[in-house]
Amino acid sequence: MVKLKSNDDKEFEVEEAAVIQSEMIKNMIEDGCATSVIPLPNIDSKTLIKVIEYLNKHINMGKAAETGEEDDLKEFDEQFVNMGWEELFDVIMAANYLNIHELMELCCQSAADRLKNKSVRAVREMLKITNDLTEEEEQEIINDAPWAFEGPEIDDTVN
Amino acid sequence: MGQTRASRRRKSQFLHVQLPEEIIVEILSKLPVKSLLKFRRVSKSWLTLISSPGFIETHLRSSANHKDYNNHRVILKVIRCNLTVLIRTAELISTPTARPIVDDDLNDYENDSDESINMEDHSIHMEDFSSDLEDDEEDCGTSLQPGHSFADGTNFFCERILRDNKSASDFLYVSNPNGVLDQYTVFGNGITAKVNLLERSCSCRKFDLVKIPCEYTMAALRAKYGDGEGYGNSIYDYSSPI
Repeated sequence: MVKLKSNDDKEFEVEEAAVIQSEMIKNMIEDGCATSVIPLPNIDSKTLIKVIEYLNKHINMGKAAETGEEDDLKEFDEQFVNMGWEELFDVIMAANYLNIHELMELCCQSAADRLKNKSVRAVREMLKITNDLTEEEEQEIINDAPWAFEGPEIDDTVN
Repeated sequence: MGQTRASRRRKSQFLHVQLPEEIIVEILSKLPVKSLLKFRRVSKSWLTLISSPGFIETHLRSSANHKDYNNHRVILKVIRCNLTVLIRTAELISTPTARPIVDDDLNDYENDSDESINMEDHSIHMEDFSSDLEDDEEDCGTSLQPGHSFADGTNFFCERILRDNKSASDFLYVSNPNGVLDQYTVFGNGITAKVNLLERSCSCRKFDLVKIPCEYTMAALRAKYGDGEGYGNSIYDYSSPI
């Protein structure tokens, strides 16, 4: 068992087999740095619970294919990414920090799917980006590929 | 306003930390080209990122694994004229349907590849570019030169390596057992090599590391596209120097 500590001082016990899906923690264990509690100053407990839930479910990824549990796992993944936009980014940041490749892929794909049809304005708002392009520059980009900016599927809502 | 307050209550890190570029890249590389063209308008840094050669290559690699967006990636070539060579060669290698007929005359490659893009792409908007595209590509020939950091000597050696690899490939036997168009098994001199043109890799590792098609890759390329002069050199043009 490995103990993880979130930035709000809560401790979580996780099986080693689950936690080594994180490259970062795997390296720590291999280097013998994980004898007591591993503090994770970048991750709050709410996010850590999500991450651990994922790790526990994906503990035997290799075996899942043999036992036909793949669909089950797929369904879990679908349910898993069904979370709020900011929550999703907390998980992405955590997955990036812990270096959990599969989780990163899953969440980034979900983020991409949500952004795909958004309007430029909505994307700026969703990612808290300030527009620093001049009007002329913007116009130039539009002229370059006008069709990319029109179409019924473009969604201007922020969520 | 209400939403901001709610978020603040949640103490999401997202609000306090600027998203690292690697995460942005990771997400954007999973978007279809249409969205990317649109999102160039988000900010200066996005414009620079989305138009950068490194990103285009990442996206190409990522979309090659994504069946839904396969046919759209060629549109990326309009983003930056000076990357046309990169994209075009990549699509030459990775899009089997783009070249139904193989011409022996390889100087025709450029022309055919343009046509095939229009035919193959499902996007109705592609025609909008096609005329501009040719102009762009002509510019490209000249504008590309200064960008290349190779000294003439390097180019000379690259050409020699390519030529040698090409003649070495004469003695190799190529098979494509699975019917998968971009994966070839090449036999010769008691050595068997597996070439994947889509991933630009060969089990001899030379292609992966040096980025110049090795003899096995050359054999596979010739099996796929036929033979001709200068073929190896044009393939070489896209590959980024290490």
